[in-house]
Amino acid sequence: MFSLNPSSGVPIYRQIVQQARFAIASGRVEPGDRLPSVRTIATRLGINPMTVSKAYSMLERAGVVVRHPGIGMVVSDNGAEDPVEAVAADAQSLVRTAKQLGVSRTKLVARINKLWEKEWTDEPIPLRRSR
Amino acid sequence: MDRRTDPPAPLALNGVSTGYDRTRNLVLDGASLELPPGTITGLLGRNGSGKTTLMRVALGLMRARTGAAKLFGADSWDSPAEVRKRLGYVSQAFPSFGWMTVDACLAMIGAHYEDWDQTLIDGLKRDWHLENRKIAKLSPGDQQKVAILLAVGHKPDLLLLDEPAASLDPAARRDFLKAVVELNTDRGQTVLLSSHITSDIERVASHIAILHGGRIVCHEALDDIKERVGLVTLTGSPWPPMEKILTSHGNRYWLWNPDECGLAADVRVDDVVLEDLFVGITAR
Repeated sequence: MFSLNPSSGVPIYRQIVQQARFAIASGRVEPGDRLPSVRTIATRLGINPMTVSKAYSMLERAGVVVRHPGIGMVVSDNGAEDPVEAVAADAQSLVRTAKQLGVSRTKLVARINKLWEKEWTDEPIPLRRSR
Repeated sequence: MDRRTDPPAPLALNGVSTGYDRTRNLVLDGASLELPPGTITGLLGRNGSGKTTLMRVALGLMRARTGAAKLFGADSWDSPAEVRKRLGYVSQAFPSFGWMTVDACLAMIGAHYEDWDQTLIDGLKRDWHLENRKIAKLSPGDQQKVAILLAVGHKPDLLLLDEPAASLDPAARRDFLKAVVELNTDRGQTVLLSSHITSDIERVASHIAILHGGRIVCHEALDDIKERVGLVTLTGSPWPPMEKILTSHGNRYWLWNPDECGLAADVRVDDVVLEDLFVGITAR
């Protein structure tokens, strides 16, 4: 399910979209899986149902999920996108901050390479399951 | 307007002005607000801004000196019983029924309504552990929950909640908000909810209305307004245009439509939280 922060400033529907994409990109949710119903999310988390519908419509328009009448939102076969897309927004904000502070491209890349080496494996690190 | 496809709004205030004494002091001074059916609107305003007065006018407990207040198309001041039956109201003060048990109190009120939903009430009463308890012995938070049960049992189409969760602890508040969302999801109830807890409003509301200087100065879908306002952090870059500044703190500026401000392209724009937005709008 989703872990939403209403006070983060990011509109809740965008948080739902981001988290759904992230879950799909990481393989935690697979093509053919069904997303929880609007009612389930709204009432369990105490979130406005229109917000949830809006997020689902955006995912549908992006081709990530397909709406099956009577069944709900199902992750489409081509819903799984390149995982790099899931980190693109974070990368962009990192680049922007670095530029603002006058950190050079070489320095930033060098630091990223160093951090990359520090992680103990090149295998994907298992995600903590939200429950 | 086509009346068949467009039923009248649950609540429509149009240029409402009113006050409490015989003086010219107006609490509401040309307030206009139309609630789209099925939405949850968060009503925000500083202390004494007139949120409760607005609710009282909506309920027909106070008369608009000028302007029009309509409930489902009928004048709120002398609306017929069929219209009043469609209202539910929770005020800040719990009506005293201290000597009664919760169950007896609900039975007494429920008896006045033809389509009282005892199943809904029994479910909530159980979830909130209110069965067989004497009202006087309940905590203020639990008394507030009884007030909510009294307000929803007759399945109102419009629920007016005047700071209903102010006396509840965080866990009870979360339960309460979930109950509001559930009623809205399952029954399409329109809700007007006033609260100072902006994080609650951010969670449950689809729209916000900000009351300031006797008027509704902002009424918009919450997602839309969050898209329009950005938090900009300046590090020695040009000064943002005054009319775009909502509020500022140090080198951080909350701006309307920051992309259109002509600031340097590498300026960082972050998302904004409702609390800053509220402070920015009502400080002007």
